[in-house]
Amino acid sequence: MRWIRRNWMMVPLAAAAMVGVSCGDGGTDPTGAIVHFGLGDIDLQAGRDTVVQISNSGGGAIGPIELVPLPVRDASGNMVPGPQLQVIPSEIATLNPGVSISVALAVVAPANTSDGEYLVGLEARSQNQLVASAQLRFRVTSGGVSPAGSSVVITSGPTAFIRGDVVQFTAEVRDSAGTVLPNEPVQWSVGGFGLFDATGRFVSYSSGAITIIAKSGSSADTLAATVAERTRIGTLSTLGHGVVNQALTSDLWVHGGVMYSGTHNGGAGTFYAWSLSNPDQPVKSDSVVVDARVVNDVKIRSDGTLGAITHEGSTDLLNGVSLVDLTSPEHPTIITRYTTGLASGIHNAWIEGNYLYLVTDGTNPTTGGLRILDVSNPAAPTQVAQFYGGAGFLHDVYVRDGLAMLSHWSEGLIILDVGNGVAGGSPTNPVEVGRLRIPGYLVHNAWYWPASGYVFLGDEINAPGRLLVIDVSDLSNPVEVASFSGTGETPHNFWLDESRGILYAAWYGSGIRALDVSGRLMGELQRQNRQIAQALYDAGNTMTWAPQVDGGKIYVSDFFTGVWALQANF
Amino acid sequence: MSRIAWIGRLLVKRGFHLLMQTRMVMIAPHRVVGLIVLAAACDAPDDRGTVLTTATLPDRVVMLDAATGMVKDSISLDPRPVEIDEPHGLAAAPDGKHWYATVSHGESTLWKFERPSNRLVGRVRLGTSGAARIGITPDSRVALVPDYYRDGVDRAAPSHVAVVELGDLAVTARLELCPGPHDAQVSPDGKLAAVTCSLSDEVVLVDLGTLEPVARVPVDREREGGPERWPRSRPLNVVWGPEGEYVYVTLHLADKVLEIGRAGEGRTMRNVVIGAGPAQLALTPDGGTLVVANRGDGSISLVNRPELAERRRIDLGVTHPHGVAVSSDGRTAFISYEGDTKSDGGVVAVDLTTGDVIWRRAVGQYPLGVIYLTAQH
Repeated sequence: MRWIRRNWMMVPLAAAAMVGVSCGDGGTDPTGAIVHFGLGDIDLQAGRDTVVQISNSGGGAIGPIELVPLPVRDASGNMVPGPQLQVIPSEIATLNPGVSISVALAVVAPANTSDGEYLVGLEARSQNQLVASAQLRFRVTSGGVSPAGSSVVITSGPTAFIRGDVVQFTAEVRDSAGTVLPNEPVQWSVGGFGLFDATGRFVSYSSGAITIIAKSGSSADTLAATVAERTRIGTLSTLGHGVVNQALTSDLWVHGGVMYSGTHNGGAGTFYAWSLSNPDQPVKSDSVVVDARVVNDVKIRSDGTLGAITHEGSTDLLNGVSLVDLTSPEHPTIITRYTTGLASGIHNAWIEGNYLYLVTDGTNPTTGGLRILDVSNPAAPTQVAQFYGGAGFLHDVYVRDGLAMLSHWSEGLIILDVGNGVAGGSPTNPVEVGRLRIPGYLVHNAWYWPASGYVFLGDEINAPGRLLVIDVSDLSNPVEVASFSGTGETPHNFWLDESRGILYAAWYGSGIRALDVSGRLMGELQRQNRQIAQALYDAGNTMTWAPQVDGGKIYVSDFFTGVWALQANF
Repeated sequence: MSRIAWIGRLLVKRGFHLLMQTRMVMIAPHRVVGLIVLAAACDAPDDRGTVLTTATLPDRVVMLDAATGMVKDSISLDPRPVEIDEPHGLAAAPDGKHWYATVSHGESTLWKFERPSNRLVGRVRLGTSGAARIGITPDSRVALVPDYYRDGVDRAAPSHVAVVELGDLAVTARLELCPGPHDAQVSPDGKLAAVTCSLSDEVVLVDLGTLEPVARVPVDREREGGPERWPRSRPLNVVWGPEGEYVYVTLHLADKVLEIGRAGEGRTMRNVVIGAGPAQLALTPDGGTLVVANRGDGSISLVNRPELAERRRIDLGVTHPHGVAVSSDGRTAFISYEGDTKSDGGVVAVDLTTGDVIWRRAVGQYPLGVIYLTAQH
């Protein structure tokens, strides 16, 4: 099959033999359901998409069945950011005995996908158990056939660089008369470990001597290079622990020498203030109790005068959000509780200036998942706007530079202009400017780094955990460029030390990770030695929820044990 | 610690001390879920009926021995670990082959479990703004699930009742009937559904053949108090009389049970003042007694149905009674109670003859729905 590269579109040129699907054996459910993909029905037809049957030939019903596409890999097994396998439907409610259901598959690939053959897996999972799998193979070619006698020469590129750094190589193709053919594609590869894109950008996954290879038709050129090891490594040491007993701890926020934290189950709606007069040792200074079973999120405005704490599971069934007076930072008091239209519960929040952005539980096409309140008079908030992404549900919101990054679960990352100006939006009139849906990835949280043009995403459900890096330099066309895969657990909340290019990622039972995200990012970060440190500060008991960097310390909230102060030794 | 023992650890930390043993079942190369089982009850024959209740914050259905209140098992309704998914309603299919549960947060869903294995065999996304109680047609083929979207009164947001074909778990319609529908129960002949509209003070009767409303019955709108446009009586739950001639509705803010006739376009017949803040109600199998959970004062009311008169009010000594189920012999009522932000909720079993509390069992935070499953099912 041949594809013409277009931005996020696939156009089949011809059906070709290189496309095929292989199917794994069906899985047997304990009660006799046997699920399998129908081999006889798999045919990519015109080459752009196909329909496959999923069947239950066993004796019992099974469900739900999630159809999860895995990351696309190249022929060398490298994970390739960008190309996607789209699957419709993504979930089958129940599959009764003897029933087959059609599943539509389509591959999309961004413009900078290198020529070559790719594999992508499709898993059918029921209650997180693999019950069937399939493997789809597809080929990307850039069209064109190199003229006879043409030659290729590598014209620029470094011969010494660091593992994990993204470097650029260029090459020229000339015809037999020596005329440069500027539009003739070059196929890049490496004698070693690393990832190229179609434009000659490269990142090495190993250190030592490698060979860069450029091909065009039957012509090839090589360049020897030396890759130095990435050596930014260190440790995180424990300074102090603020204990929370008989309650699970949720989010935290640090401002002006005071840390604030919420409580999950068992917290009786308690919101804590912690003095950091000794930055190494948080000490409880006060607490506030609200009508909530869960205070999931805590946010403090940048001027430190106003806070917001969220309500879920209130006994009066009204939920909503409480605004907090921080005139005396170590002794917060409630200004008001706002519940109008927020009875379903508030899960996350963000304060930016005089506007409070709220994530409501439950979604409604009219009232939306995102609510924006004007809190210029904190005693009398008023709702000024709302937004719903049209499918799935909203989980989190991050606002910066007039852009709201919505973590919209199965609907992906949604970018709103709420005052940036790029689309005429404002807090009272949010305007969508971009969206990236990532099949098989449930967007739980986001951190936007304007200086780099990256957004870092987390998915807390699909294990092992994978953090994604999205290039939003073109806000209307967000593109996945890199990932970090961690073993075992999944990520939760992030904090980026932008001055040092270090991302702190809470990783539940795997603790806190410090990742080197300096420079340009591409490919699999865990293969680039970009993890600087990882800490299980409470051995065997760690369940990291959220980090924050303040005054050179790293503070984390831990679901089980309270809040911790850590020191970065790097 | 990984999430291998995550749920077990969470419950232990929350004082879920009744759960004596955690059994881990590997369900994926990378993911393990704990099933929590009371060791002493695991091998006991299931010959005494089972009470199921939704524990909303642990996102679980807890199964109790109906005779003793001992925890027999616990099933996760937790598609998003750590997030609050909020299981709400429970219903047993009349044919005894399945039971169902709703989850209201994230994407609202209806879950289908097989009897007697209690094995999950399906889950459908409802495409609604939430999910509350479940009404099932007598032939066990169709369910009605109201979304109970409580923000509708302020924002004029549409609320829906999802219609689900239960064989394939397909949503066949979403009925926009009124704001904040909480309950939808089907008449014994399967022809009508009665829908309580918690934010508009009305009960809507729906023809299940055409899925069109055939009557809108206003309820007790004259009651004073509360914010403007806020419901005056808030009808929450409904049960049909045994012959299908009447429906009985709890008016949460009016402290009443209301009787509505089916004849004609439906009309209000009688009402009775009971305890504070009535939530769910259930009818004994002989049709003689309505058992009503009074969320506001921690009691239940026993109402003689023929006279529509409160026969007895029983203080349960718990906070926020919510759901009601009655055993198949009519002798015992099972009342779920929510607890509050500082205390767990659970289930209370009450002898309907003596009024004595037989047992009380805390199961976790914020229980809502409750059903009784006979041993034969």
